[in-house]
Amino acid sequence: MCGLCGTLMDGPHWSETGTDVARDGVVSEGRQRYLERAYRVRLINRVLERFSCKAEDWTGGQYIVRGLNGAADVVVNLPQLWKAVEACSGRAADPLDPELIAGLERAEPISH
Amino acid sequence: MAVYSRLIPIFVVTGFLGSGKTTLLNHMLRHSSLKDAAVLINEFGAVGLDHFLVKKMDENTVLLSSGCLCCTIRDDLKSAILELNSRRERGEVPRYKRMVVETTGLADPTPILYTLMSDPVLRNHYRLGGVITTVDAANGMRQLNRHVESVRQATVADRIVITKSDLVSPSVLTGLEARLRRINPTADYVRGNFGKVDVRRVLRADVYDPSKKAADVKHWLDLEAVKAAHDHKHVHDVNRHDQHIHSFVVTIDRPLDWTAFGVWLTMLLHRHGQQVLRVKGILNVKGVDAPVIINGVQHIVHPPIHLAEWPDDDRRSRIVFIVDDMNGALIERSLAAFNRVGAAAA
Repeated sequence: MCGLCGTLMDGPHWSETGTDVARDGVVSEGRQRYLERAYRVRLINRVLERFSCKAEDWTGGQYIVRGLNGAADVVVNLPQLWKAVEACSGRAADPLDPELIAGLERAEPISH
Repeated sequence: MAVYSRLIPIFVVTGFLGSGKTTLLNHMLRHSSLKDAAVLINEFGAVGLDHFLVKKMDENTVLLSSGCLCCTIRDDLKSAILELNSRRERGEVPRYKRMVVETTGLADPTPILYTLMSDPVLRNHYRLGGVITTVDAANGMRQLNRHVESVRQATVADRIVITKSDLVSPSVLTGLEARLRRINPTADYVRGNFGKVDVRRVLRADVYDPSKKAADVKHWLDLEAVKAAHDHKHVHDVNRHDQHIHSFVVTIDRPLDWTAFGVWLTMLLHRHGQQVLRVKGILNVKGVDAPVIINGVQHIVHPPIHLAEWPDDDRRSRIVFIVDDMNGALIERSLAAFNRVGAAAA
């Protein structure tokens, strides 16, 4: 449990393992992990450009989904994040949405 | 978090009523590979299990707030495993190294998989070893027609054992196997009669054994088999539960950005997890020498596995999808778009 917010932590999600330094289900550590999280958040925000909310990393273990009206939701992994995005924006978080795909096809690639 | 490969594997044996689950289990438990296994069953059937450690669990399910059936916690299963685990730690039962869970014949097995893979306590001691589904050669076709659970049991399988294969003609057997391959072209198919099967092959279903994974991956990626299944998807019988289930392979030529892939797949499964019945594939991840294996059932995704080497000369990422009424071309285009956005990553 997070000592600050009381959120129940559920261990690393599969999407946070799998890179070369994260074999055997063990999440990468230290600087590498923070760099990956920062990059993930930038990617998520590129996806969210058409949504009325943004994601932030919080303490390297959670994400905050913040709406334009100031409402915020703390989540611990990506499945929870998409749920929070839908609640915050009122829009379906659907990667098969042709508008979203077309937007990403035109977008500038981002870097680490 | 515990190192995944050191967790105790749980094999789930599922199959429709009377399809020979218990007979198969009895045969498997006599094999040396399972002599140190604990067994959890739903009911003591007509065929009793003769094993040192058999425990019954009762039906008790808790539907989570998402309302999706596959995201249902089976409290009875969780309690039964944790109780066995405590007794194992106290030395009251032998220190079993594997566990087999036999589901009830009428069950959609996805809540069982969800429970095993998502409960924080279980996840620190156990992992899903694989799903073995029995299908009755004589009655399987009728059960697939009438019971959606039977179709679900076939889609989640890593191994499908066609039982009582000696009781039907070769043409009936071929027809049933062809239909099952259309529903799940990535499973390995084993024929058995009187519960006698090649146990080693059935237990090779362990989804987290990199040493045995290369052969499995080659089988999943048998593109001809997947293509054949796809070409035969148009079966005009509205009463069939597998009417809209089809499979296809998404191929990505450029190396995949792992972070972009994780963002994409979690979003896809969040929105369409009930329709994405299986995702299995081999990924060429940018910056990683070894191929990465991904394996999921609906909303549930196994931790990725690194293979020691590529199973063939093809270095492209190839992902097999088994879906219920989804557009494969759109899925491929969407993944490519997400991957492109991450393309400038170092």
